[in-house]
Amino acid sequence: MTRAGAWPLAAALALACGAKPEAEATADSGAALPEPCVDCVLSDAQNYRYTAELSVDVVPGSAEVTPVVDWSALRHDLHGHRVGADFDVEEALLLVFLELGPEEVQAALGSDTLQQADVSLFATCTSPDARCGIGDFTAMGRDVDLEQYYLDGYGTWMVLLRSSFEAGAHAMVFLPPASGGAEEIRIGDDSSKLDVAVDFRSSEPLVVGGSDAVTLDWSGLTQDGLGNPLAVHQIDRLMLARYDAPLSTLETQVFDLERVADERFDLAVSGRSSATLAELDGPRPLTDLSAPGTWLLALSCSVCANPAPKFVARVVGTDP
Amino acid sequence: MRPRPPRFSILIVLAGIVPACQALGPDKAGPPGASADSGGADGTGTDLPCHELSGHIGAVTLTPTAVPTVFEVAVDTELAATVTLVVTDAEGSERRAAATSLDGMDHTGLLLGLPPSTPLELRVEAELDGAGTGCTLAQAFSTGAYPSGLPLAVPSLLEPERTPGYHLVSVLGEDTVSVAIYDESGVPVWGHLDWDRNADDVPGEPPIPEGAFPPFIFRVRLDPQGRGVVFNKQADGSADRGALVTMSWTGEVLEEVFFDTGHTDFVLLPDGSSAMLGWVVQDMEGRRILGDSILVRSPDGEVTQVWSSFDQFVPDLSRTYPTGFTADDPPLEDWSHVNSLAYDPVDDAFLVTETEPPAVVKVDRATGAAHWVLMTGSPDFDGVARDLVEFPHSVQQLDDGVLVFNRSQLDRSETCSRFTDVVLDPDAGRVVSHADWMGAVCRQNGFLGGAERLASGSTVVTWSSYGLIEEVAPDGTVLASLGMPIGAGFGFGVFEPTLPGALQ
Repeated sequence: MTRAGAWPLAAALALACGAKPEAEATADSGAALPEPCVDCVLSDAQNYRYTAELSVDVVPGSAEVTPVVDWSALRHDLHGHRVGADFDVEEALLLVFLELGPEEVQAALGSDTLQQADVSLFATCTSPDARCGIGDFTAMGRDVDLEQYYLDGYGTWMVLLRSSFEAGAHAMVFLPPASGGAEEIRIGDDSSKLDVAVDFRSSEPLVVGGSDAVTLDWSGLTQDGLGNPLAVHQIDRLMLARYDAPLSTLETQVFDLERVADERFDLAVSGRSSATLAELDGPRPLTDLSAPGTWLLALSCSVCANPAPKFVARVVGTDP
Repeated sequence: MRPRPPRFSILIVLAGIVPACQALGPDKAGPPGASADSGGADGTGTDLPCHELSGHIGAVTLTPTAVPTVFEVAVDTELAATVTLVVTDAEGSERRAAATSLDGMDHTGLLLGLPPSTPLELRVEAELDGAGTGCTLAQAFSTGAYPSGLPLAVPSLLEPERTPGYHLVSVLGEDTVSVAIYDESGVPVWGHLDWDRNADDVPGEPPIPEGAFPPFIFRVRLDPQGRGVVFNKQADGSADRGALVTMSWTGEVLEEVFFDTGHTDFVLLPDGSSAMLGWVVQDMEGRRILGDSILVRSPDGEVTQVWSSFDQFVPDLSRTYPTGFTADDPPLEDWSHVNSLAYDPVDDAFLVTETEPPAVVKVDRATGAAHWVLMTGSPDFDGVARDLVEFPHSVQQLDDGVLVFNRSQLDRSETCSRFTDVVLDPDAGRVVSHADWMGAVCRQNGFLGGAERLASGSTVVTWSSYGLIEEVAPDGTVLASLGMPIGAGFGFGVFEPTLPGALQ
């Protein structure tokens, strides 16, 4: 087994961001804040930044006896979520790339730039036993006899595990067909690793007036947290949440911002690019954002491959 | 047994379509008619001469529709007039569309062909009978956001020489089926989410049972009457029926007609008829063999079968054919696997592509007889090379022959999907010449795929399973490349130089 070389994705971007020490950058630091807005137009300068480094094991599979992929030993996913407690694997996804090698695929996955045109084959398998043979993968429920294509040296084969718990994959492995390769390929906690560095503190805070009449307009956003182009139409969820935890803790929980919130207000915004705070659903009327704690505004795409929010801004409320 | 090429499942989870447009409502619409106080219509703040006659133009109503990029416009004029709708973008580029009127004074029009999430301005110009040209000041509006579940095409190459026009495609996901129109730069100007496995609120589409196939749409064409688009919904199997759905530009279903067993592809005929591929089952030596047919529906609704693959070829019962192809009858053996249908108006004939045996057949519409069969060993053509027609998935009649998209036999790693120009001399029974284009990289397109020759001489290639559309110049240069994000593929593609009524 080898591991495809880890890619320090967007490392240059991280350096360019020049993250400030937390004490300098928090809203409590005394730095001058922008004027509160009521008709708030969100900007890229308010968006968080993050970098990701993905590494995935490469386990050659037997080209003679097409292998079985087994994930029964998986206990934690890429993001630290627990199998059984947080999620159960619902589906294995098989991708084959004819033109890309493992390192290129890994880099494209980490940077969220993989396109369908990169994928030569796409099939799925569900199994209550946490095992799927190559021949068990089907396309739209149809047997496509994939064993015949699992030939020595033919393409870059990859299996990813998914669930409805969140978008993207929980774990993955490359399994290039090779003469004399493994007949059983296990996906465990160490098969794939994702190291993420998140910076919530260097971006401009969003300072809002205290009224629930505040309007948020995200039509002008152009970049996501990775620095990739952001298509506004992809955003379908808006969350404004309060946390007791400090920003430094939340920066380690970017994939769980919805789950760790102490107070959360949500809105489905598919097809929209603006909303008022009064529209948000939450435990109470959202009239006061000056309550103690850390407030974050997140705009997310629930149908995208990357489960990280597209936009996260720290929010500073002012007294109504 | 010839290995069966794989068909590919595409992953994407779509949220429901939300007709949440951001156009200004009537209460926010610009003033109906010219007013120097309302700001300039030309973006410079200066009045235009036509503003002097703006008083003859009454209410201008801009109404969003279920399609976020399409608006309906209603205009009243005091005098009989010819009305033009003028839309200006932030760069000052103008696009125009004519409004229509029955009495010359109540006018309606459509704003079609606009990008999503874009601030724009609308001005109305009216050629007023006996009075000259009047115009309104511009009123600002914005197109709505493209529905989040519909993926955007990502252009990776856009050469200036690319052909202007629109790509009509079905967009297929593991959990969704939708219809989209992208312009030559990949801008989505129209979209309709037809089915979402995870949505409970798609009108008219109950959740399908576990194991059933999605209600596939594979082809989208323009409605011949200019009202919108027509797309096919495939039958679930040989005991089900397929449909052709006509949908207006504003997102309403105008008409739905049915074909028993209808599947995969269809054509609209000049006389108002339509034709769709169908399935045919024959019991042979205790086995149930699935073949294909061409079904023609006349304008009065009568459906007739004009051709069957069983009439043309004989299944090789010494071998078995793949099963599991139809959801309602999995044991059926999928034999002929006819996947595409085209029409030649000159000869009033259909062309089909068949997988087993690999062949292109030209079928006389009136008699159902084959004009010719292009395949290895065909009595109609001498010396057809084995790979000239290899798992074909689209065919287009050209003046001197046919254009075929050969998916190729994908079990051999050295083969590539390709399109092939085949120059034919049917009278002499001769393939005059042929030429392949395999793309800048070797692709093995595992699902559908098609090639269409444009009037410009370019070829638009739809790499369906790759979610990729390319325009290829006659010299093989790629002029445009539009790709889908991971998880979305295409059915067939159709290229149209214009959309009826669209802003020009």
